[in-house]
Amino acid sequence: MANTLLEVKNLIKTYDREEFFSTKKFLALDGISFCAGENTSESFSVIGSSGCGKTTLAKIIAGLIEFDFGEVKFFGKNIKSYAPREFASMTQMVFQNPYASLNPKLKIKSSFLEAFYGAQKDEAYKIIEDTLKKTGLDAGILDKYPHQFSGGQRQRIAIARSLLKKPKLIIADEPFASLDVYSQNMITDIFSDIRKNFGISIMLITHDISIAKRFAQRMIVMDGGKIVADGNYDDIAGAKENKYIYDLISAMEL
Amino acid sequence: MKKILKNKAALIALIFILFVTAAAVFAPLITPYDPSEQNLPQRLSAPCAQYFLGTDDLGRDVFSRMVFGARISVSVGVFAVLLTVLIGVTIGMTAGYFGGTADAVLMRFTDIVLCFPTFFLILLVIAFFEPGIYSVMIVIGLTSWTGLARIVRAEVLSLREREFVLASRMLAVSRLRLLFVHILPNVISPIIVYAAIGMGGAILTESGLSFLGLGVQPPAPSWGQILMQGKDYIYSAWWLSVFPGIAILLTVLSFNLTGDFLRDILDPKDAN
Ligand SMILES: Nc1ncnc2c1ncn2[C@@H]1O[C@H](COP(=O)(O)OP(=O)(O)OP(=O)(O)O)[C@@H](O)[C@H]1O
Ligand SMILES: [Mg+2]
Repeated sequence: MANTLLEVKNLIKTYDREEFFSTKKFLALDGISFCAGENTSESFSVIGSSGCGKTTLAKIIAGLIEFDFGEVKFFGKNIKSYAPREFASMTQMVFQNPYASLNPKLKIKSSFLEAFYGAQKDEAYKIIEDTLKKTGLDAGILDKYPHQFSGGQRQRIAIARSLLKKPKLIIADEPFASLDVYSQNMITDIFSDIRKNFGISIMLITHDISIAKRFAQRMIVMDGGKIVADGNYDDIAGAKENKYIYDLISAMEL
Repeated sequence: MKKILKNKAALIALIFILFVTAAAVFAPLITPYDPSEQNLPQRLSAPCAQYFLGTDDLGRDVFSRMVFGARISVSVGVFAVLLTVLIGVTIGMTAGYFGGTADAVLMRFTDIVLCFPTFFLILLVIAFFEPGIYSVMIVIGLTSWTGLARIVRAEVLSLREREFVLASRMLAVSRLRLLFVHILPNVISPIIVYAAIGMGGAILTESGLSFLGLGVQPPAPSWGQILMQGKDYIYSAWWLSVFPGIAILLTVLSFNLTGDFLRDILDPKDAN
C-alpha cells in the first residue's frame, strides 16, 4: 500500500553454517510479517533475546543483506526496485557498536559528505550544520577523527549521519548496548527528539523490555526467528504462554 | 617516534637500512674506485690501507663493488616488493570484496602459485629471456605475493561487514569509493609490514640466485655474485665471502626487524 511506510511479508532467511565436511542451513528468520506506519509515522521497538534474528531482520530491511524468500516494501514499493540514492533517503541504520561505526581514517566531515555525493557543497554544509544543531553537536567535530571521541559521542555522531539523508525510517540496532547509563539516556533523548522534531519513524531494537516500554507503545517480540507477540505492553503481557515473554514480563514485574 | 627510540634493535635496524639505501643512491660519490677497474698486480690483496675490504681475483676493489652491489640489492628489493604489493593487494581485495566465484577462483590460483618454487620459475624465465636484474625482480615479484593476497583477503572479508562500511553503503556510496576510501586504507598496516619483510626476502633471494649464476650477471656487482666468486678462495681470501655475507645478513635482518617493529606499532590495539 502506497501509504504504508514499511511492509514486511513472510520473510525467510537462512545462513550457511560450515561444519566439518558439509554446510548446513541455519534458519535465522522463519516467516516474519508486519506493517508499520500506516498513513503516519510510527516508532516501535523490536525485542528479543540474543540470536533470535533481530540484527538479521534489521539488515534485510536496510537492504544490506540478501534473503531467501518474502518481500520488504517501503510505501508499497519493493526495496529491490529502489535506486540506491532513492533508497538512502528511505531508511538509514544506526549500529550497536559506535566504535566501528565511523571510518577511523576519515575526518567526520568526509564521512558526512558522503551523504551528498553529486550535490552542491554549500547546500550540503547547510544541511550538515542544521543536523548538528538538532542533535546537539558542535560544528568543531567535523575536523576531528573518530578516535578523538568517546563511545557516546560517536554514537551521537552516527545518529547525526543517519539523519543527513532525511530518511523516513531509522533502524537503531541496540544503539546503547555498549554505552554507560549516562550515554544511554542521552541517546534515548536524541531519539525522542528526532521523532518529535523530524517526524521520522524509528525502529528500535533492544533486548531490554523496560527501555522498549518507555520508548514506544508498540513492541514486536521475536523468539527463534519468529514474531511471537506484536502490540502494546498489555498485549504482550497477555501472551505469557511463550516462555521468553513469560521471562520478560516476570523480570519487569519484579 | 618515542616508540622507535625505545626499541633499540628497531632503531639500529632503521639506521642500517638508511645507511644501505644512502650507499646505494650515492654509490659513485662514496666509492674510491670504479667497481670494474682491474688492478691485476694487486689481485687478492687482503684488506689494507689502499683497499680496505681487499680486492678480488681480478684486483677489483671489494668495497666499491659492494657499494654498487647495494644498488642492485636495494633496487631488486624495491621493484620486487612493488610488484608483490600490486599483485597481492589486487588479488586479495578482489577475492575478499566480491567473494563467491571470484574468491574461489583467485584463491585456488593463489594456492597454485604458492606451490611454485621461485628457483624453478627463474630457470623457466632464463630459458626464454636473458638472465639479469629484470628477470630477478619480476620472478621474485611474481612468486612472493601469495601470503599478502591471503592476508589482504582475510582483512577485507571482515572489513566489508564492518559497521562503517555498511553505513557508507546505506548512503549509496559507489563501490570504488568503498574499496579505495573505506577498505584499502584500513588494510594498509599489514601491507606495510609485509612489504618490509618482503624487502629482506627479495634481497636474500636475489643473492641466492646470483650466487648460483642465475641472477645478476657479471661484471655487474651484486652481493650474491661477489659471494660466488669468493667461494673458490674461501681459504686464501676470506674477505671475498665474509663481507658480502655480512652485508646480506645485516640487511635482511634489518628489514625483518623493521617489519616486526612496524607490526607492533601499527597494531590496532595500540592505535586507540
Ligand atoms: N553471517 C552469518 N553467518 C552465519 N550465521 C549467522 C550470521 N549472522 C548471524 N547468524 C546467526 O543467525 C542468528 C541470528 O543472528 P542475529 O545477529 O540476527 O541475532 P540478534 O537477535 O541480533 O542477536 P544479538 O542480540 O546477540 O545481537 C544467530 O544464531 C547467529 O549466530
Ligand atoms: Mg544483534
